[in-house]
Amino acid sequence: MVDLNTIVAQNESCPVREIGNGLVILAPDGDLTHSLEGLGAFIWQQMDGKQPLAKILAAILDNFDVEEETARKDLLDFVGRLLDSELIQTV
Amino acid sequence: MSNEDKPVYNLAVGEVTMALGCPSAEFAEGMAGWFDRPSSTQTPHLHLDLEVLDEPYSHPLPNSLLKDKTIGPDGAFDIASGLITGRFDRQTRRGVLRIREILLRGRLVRVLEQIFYQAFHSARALAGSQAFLIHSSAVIRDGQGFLFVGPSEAGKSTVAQLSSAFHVLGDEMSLVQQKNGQALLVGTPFNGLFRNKQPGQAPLRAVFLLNQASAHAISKLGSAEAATALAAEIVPDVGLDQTTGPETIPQLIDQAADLLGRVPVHRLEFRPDSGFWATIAKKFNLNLEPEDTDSPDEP
Repeated sequence: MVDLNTIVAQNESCPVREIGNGLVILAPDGDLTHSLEGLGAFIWQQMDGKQPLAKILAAILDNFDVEEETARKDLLDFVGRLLDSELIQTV
Repeated sequence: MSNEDKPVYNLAVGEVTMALGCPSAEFAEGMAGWFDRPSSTQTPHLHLDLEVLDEPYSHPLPNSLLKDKTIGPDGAFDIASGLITGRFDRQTRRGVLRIREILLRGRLVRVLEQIFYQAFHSARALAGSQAFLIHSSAVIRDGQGFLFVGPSEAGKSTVAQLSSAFHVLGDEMSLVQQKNGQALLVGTPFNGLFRNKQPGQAPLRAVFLLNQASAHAISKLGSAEAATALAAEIVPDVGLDQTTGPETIPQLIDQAADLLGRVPVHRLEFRPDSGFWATIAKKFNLNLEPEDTDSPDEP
């Protein structure tokens, strides 16, 4: 169960390409790619395996014009999808 | 008939040429007719002897000749359980392709064409050419190349048909060649549904990712989204003696990112009428000569 106390880290076996302001992340099996822009790319870069999602949420609120409740829900949904795709892992 | 006596059709793709040793003169003429190009006079970069096997084939035909390809320890390759077999030796630049006869029937020749994508990549590497193939339709207008990219059913053939007033390079496969730091759009002999393609090349002015819609519009794309979409349509750089591997998709992303750094890439929403050219002309300041504006079908 993912909540704001969860700590996640990028899956280091996923190749990442920085392209312009976005990121292209390749799935571990090498068959799928995921593109992240704007907020998604920002969140990815915060996933350092050290800070809980609560701190990432705070960083989002500092850097983007978004309501806290909306940001919290979107962050948890986003993290859940990245976990399902094995692009990140819980620490 | 020895290999030296075989009629040869030289298939040129950009600055790369492949000599195809054909089973008969009629076969060589058929190749020239299918590709709608005479045999090239350029010096070939490799030579392939074609053999046609008139044997039954009981497996489903694949959509891609890359996905079901194996290479044996002796270097011989087998695609789709014997649909195409052969070998290629890059040292001698020679190889053989054994093709099941079913691939010469009607539109199945388009499946056969895919083996020449692989032959192109072998020849490209030998020639030292910096180029890649991309699923797209391509049009030259005002001396500038415009590339329309998308998967099957995205509208590539529709775009070609609606661009008949201009120089249509093709509706299936285009070549993007790096020349003096510039991206050059080059037509290829490979076929889609549009049969009036013309050879040619021009500096690549813009790339559009096709999206059929109810009105014409050009919109911006995020760079990562654009790279992902482009990479999906670039033909993997896999030669006859190679298969895809873990490095394939990262290479495609890198090729797409390189293209993004050279030319603008946009989303083109279009409906099936030639009015999309007015939208492009406005965006890219193209000349609107009378013959170019015969279908001002703007919403």
